[in-house]
Amino acid sequence: MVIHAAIRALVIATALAGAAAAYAHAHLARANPAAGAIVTVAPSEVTLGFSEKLEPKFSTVVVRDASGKQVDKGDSRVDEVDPSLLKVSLPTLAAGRYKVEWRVTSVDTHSSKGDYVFRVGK
Amino acid sequence: MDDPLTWIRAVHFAATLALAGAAIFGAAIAGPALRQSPGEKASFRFQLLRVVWICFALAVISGAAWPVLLAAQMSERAPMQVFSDGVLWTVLLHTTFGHDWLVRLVLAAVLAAVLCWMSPKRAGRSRWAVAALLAAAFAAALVHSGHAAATSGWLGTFHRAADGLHLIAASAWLGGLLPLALLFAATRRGDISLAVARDATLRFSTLGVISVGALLATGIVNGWLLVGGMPALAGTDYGRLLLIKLALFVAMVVIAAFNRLRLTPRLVRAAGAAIAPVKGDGLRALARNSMIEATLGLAIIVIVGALGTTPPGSHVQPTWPFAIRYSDAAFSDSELRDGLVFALWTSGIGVLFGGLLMLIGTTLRRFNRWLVASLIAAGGAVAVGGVIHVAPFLSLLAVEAYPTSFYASPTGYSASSIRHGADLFATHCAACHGRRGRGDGLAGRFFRVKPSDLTADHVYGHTDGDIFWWITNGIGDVMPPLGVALNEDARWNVIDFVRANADAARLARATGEVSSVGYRAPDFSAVCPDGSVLARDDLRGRIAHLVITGRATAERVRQLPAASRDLVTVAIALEDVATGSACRADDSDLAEALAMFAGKDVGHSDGTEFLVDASGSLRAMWSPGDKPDWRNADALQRETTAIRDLPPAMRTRGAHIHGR
Repeated sequence: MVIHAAIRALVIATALAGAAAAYAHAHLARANPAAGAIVTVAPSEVTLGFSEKLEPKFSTVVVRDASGKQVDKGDSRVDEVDPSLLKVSLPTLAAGRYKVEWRVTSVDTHSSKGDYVFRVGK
Repeated sequence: MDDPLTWIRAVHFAATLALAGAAIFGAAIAGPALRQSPGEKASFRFQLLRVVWICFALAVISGAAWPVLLAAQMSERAPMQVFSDGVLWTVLLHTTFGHDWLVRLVLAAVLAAVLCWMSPKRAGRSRWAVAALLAAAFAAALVHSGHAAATSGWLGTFHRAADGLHLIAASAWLGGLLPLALLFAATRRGDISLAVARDATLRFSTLGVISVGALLATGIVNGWLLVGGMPALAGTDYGRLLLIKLALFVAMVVIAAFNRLRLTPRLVRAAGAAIAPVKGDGLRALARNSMIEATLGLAIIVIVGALGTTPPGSHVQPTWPFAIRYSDAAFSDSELRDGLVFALWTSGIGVLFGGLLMLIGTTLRRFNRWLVASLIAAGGAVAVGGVIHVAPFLSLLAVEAYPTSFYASPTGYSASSIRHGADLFATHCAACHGRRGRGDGLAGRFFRVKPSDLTADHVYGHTDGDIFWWITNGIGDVMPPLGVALNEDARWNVIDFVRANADAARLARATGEVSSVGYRAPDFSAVCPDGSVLARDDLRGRIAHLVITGRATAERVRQLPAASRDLVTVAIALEDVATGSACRADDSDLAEALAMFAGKDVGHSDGTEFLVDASGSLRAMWSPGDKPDWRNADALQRETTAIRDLPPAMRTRGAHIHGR
């Protein structure tokens, strides 16, 4: 069992090293509304949580409706308390399909971008 | 490598390290060595100062180009545009990188002033020391330009400290090689005496040993934080570049060791024997080897330039190059485990005992030659026997692997992925594997080889990447490939469903009780009344109490206590109901995924509750009517206490690789 535990520890250490790899190049770790989510109540804000701290001047997010028109309030900002959060306010959204497009630069100067879709209503 | 920033980085790193290395060489090697013979010609000091100035100029030019290219990249503009649009100033004044660059600019200005103040005619040892300190700081400040800048918390401070030390050690060794070669050349010309060359070589040798030690230690820290385990090392560009860098480093160390152990003693002997250069003093070989080392060092720096712009880990899927991989699945099988553990113990003891016998044998060399030989032979035999004994069992620790075996699912196990996966599974897989994945599909009954039961234990022995390979390419003539029918995202969705489906079958058996195995919860994202966002992977030490909330349950949710330090209530609203102080996750995919864990249709899931431990694993499930009754606050309290009191070994989630 001791050997088993040792090997297990080795595997866990390897896995931990794998987790640490996520530090470089910011990627989207969590989002509200979540990617692909169908929300029953229209959200007042989109919050994106990244794997790294962001450069506020070089990180933006926009929300577009199905026709590609920007629908957010244009106040995309990096949270002052937790600089890994990127937020933008929303007006009351009608039911439909919305696309969140983000482009960020992390404090290690690496840029990345991505998008995802969420839906309001059934 | 086609990114100009890669090359600018390489030039800047090379110039900065050479600058710091030459300054350190001047302060710690040449200065003290030359002091012992004040009559030496000034030509070497002149050369050294010239090297410092050339490196300084290169560092300033490349250091100026870097933020311009970076600003262009960050703002997606042409490099010339960043001046007129003011992006360059934003980068310099408002980013972490920019602040670091301004600090380095100040360091460079002070360094330039000190360099102007230095003259090749005088030793000026204190000025060299100041220059060396400034140049070392100039090099160490590079840490904020790379991946280390992004590691956060105390780990980040540790990472940056290690990285800074790595840069200084690299400067001292790599950067000192060119001045060393110049010093050997000056000695061969007769500008410098052999005694001075010997003294400098011995000093550099000591500095080199310290540097190599520091490079190894800090390099391991960096590698641990950035590479991401064996699969990433063997299977990604970043990992392979790092392996090449490591090979070049080893080659450099071998040459350095040869210099230290073979050539330096020759130089020491020659310096003791004669004043004028004589044949066999090893100077020529030393000079040549130093240049070879410096060239290898330059290659390393080019790789460093590329490493900084290559994404390590997470964004890149590692392609596993081997046909087998390690697996601890054999330990889960009670029959195999006993044999394996016994084999590992006996072979371990055998190797240890054999080694001990050989060690005793070598220390007894003086006594009896025959006894010594037999002791060594016996020890070797015992050790070899131990290894041979364990060899067949070791194969139990290896399982078949595929290029995609270590691919990481990009879905984050989100609720929508699981739900999409359920739909795709019903369309593409259920005919053979059955609607609930039990291997009992209608079509499957006619097969010679029965479709696999995807809720059985063996599923936990396979990585997501293994299953990805099978879905993509099929399994022999047993399972058809679905790589065309399902795009990559769809395949990951199906895998998430298979995982959730197998976990759901197990969680159902532990109704109302705390499960000793944690089942990864579908990802959720909730907004709390105070505006904060809560996510499965970000519970900050709290247990999440998830309640699927329709009209029938809204009243109960409103009466649940507001979030405490230990527990946070999350309402998954099925419709627009008021939920008081609970956090809200208004996501119908999440409701459907959780209903699946409860074995219900989402329409009948109102009032189903779950407890998710702080690491994001489902631990208990309750539906109205189950015992103990969670509507009783004490009963719920007992459940959360039981989760908190789980032994540490059970606190980790039942990982997908090793679920039971």
